[in-house]
Amino acid sequence: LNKPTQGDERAGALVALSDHQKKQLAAYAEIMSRGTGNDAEDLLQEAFARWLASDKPVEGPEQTYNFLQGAIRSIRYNVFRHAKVVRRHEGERAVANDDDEEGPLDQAADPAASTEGPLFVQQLYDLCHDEEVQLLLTAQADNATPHEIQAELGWDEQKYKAVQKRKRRLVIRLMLEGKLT
Amino acid sequence: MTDDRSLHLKRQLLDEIWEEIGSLQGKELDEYLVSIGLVPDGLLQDYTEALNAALAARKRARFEEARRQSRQESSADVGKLLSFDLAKKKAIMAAIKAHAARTGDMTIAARNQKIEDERDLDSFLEACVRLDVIDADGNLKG
Repeated sequence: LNKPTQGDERAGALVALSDHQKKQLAAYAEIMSRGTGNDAEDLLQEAFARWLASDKPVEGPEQTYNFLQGAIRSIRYNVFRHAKVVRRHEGERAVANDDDEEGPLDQAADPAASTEGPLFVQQLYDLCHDEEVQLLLTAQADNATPHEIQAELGWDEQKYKAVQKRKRRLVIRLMLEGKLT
Repeated sequence: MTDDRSLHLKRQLLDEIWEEIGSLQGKELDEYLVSIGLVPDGLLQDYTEALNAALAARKRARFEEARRQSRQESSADVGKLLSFDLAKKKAIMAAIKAHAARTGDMTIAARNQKIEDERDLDSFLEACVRLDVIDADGNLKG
């Protein structure tokens, strides 16, 4: 009679994650929410709602945790994609109603543009004052493998990992500060 | 740099954010979170609050769904009752009024409601179903 329902099992899986997994997901939501107009709690709540509504079997904490991470990233992507569609739609309306003068819509900042790779990378280059990180970014933008990067820049593996770590932390810090979206 | 390469790099960097955070545990994770301006215990609290909000939203959605279904069923029931012929509907109304007079279960206004045509009769019977005075077949309840 008191057998848990499937919904209880799914909710239970969210409660059952370890504290460090919960902190990691909440921190990830903090970072990924920046620039979306939603706060981290909205992002997490939406990820939980997706999990609760999902048909994916409840297998274990690792699977639940991976599902939530993917959901947070997907929600961020959808927010930007939605903004882009709205912007395009509004742009089309503005063109249809147009006169020759530039209206507020034309002058407004382009929220969807931040979803594009070039702007993100440009923002990062502009804000990064660490020369080694800049070199690493340039090499990675050229699709170089870690081995090729080490050979080209004359770095050993330890050096490569250290610069890579500085780069990751720089990206996280800039995103949290809302400078990189 | 081409747009494709920039996009690829951006995606790679977003993947690396997760790799970075996901690679840390325990004290090392807490220290790192503090170093980037996040509060470890506050994050746990955020997780719990977001979870509670998601569960509450799911309960509300289930409640709304149940209410919607109940309304649909109720409206299907009423449809059946209203399809009866006029004589049968009048007989049901008479039974309701007789019952109301005996028990005092209905307000005076309801008992004395003026029924001028079949539409008035339908409204009256529909209200009686919704108030649980009769069932979908017109039988008195209680």
